[in-house]
Amino acid sequence: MSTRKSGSSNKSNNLYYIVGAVVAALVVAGVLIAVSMSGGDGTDKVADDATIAEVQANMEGIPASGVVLGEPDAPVTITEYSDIACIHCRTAALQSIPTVVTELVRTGEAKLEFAPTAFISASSERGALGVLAAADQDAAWPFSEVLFHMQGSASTDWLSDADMESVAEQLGMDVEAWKQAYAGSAVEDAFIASRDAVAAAGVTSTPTFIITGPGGTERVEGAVPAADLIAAVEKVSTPS
Amino acid sequence: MTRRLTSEGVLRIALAVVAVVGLGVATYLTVARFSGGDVTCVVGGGCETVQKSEYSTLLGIPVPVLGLFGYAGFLVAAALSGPLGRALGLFTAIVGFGFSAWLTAVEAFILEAWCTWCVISAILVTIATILCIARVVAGNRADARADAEPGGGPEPAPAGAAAD
Repeated sequence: MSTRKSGSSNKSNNLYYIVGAVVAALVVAGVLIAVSMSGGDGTDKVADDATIAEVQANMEGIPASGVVLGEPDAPVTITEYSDIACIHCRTAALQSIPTVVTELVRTGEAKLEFAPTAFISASSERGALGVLAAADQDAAWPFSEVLFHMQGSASTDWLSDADMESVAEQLGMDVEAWKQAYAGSAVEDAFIASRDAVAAAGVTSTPTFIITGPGGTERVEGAVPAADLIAAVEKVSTPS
Repeated sequence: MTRRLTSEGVLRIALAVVAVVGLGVATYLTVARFSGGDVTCVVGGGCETVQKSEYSTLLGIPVPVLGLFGYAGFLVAAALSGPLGRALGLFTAIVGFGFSAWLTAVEAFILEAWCTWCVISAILVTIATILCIARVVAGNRADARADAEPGGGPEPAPAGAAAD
């Protein structure tokens, strides 16, 4: 009798342990996934010093004018139609653009032109306006690169004006001038013009690169490796 | 009693091996993260995209650090015998498998980039989960058999018997 009783008690204990473990685990897993899904990592969106240094080192000493980075007389122009909140644009910004800058822009073979659009969230438009405001100080490219490094979830409105003020400050820009430009009508007009240019170019997804040179025009869509962009530039760099 | 030791014991050893391999992967990713170095992607080139995405941290804690805790949990569960070890293993397995499945979905559908090390870790967590569930089943069956034996209840435990 005593044995049967202790066996039954042992079974109950085992069951309590298992049910307790399962319930606790489901709660913990649910919380972890919910926090991750919310896109909030609990920290302010501030680029770290290493990111700023990496972006600046990549573009340092290269002539820039407005939304263009590179020698004005570079024979090939790579126009990137991009959305600051687009994850594939971020992939291109982090993985391909630094190589393109080093291999093509720094050598004077090509220049990069940024054409911002907005189709994902309020952060898309805010980011586009922020980049165009930075273009007033010829800092559109480093500004956009840093924003891509900071990019949050596409399902959230992750980019604030304060975040971009911090970026302007970290990049050594004139923050007051950036704020004035950001709030001004000229930047809004430039954004509308950029969006119209996106529509006129028939761009339906971002990033899209339109590469124009003496040999014609190439269109490259998606977050392609730098090698694909380099190959496209080579294709159009000589008259056909 | 011998059979009980064998089935659950083998599962515990297998779990320990998976946990040690997982600790190696998580340690590599943690060191790469804190040293600021790039992760060597064995296949493909999506490691940087995944490692630098916002999904690579949770409440400010890098995911590889969470992985270290998870695999340490598996190792402790493998070392513990009896219901506590089984329950800890099951808890770690459900949390680890659930979160790992979410991260794999993020790679597939949101980032559209694959990090080889993350995939290896997801496979290890899946194997560990299967081992933990099998251990619960084997342990409970063994307990039931022991209870059914005449005078073979777990209390009082015979001196020298491994209550596995």
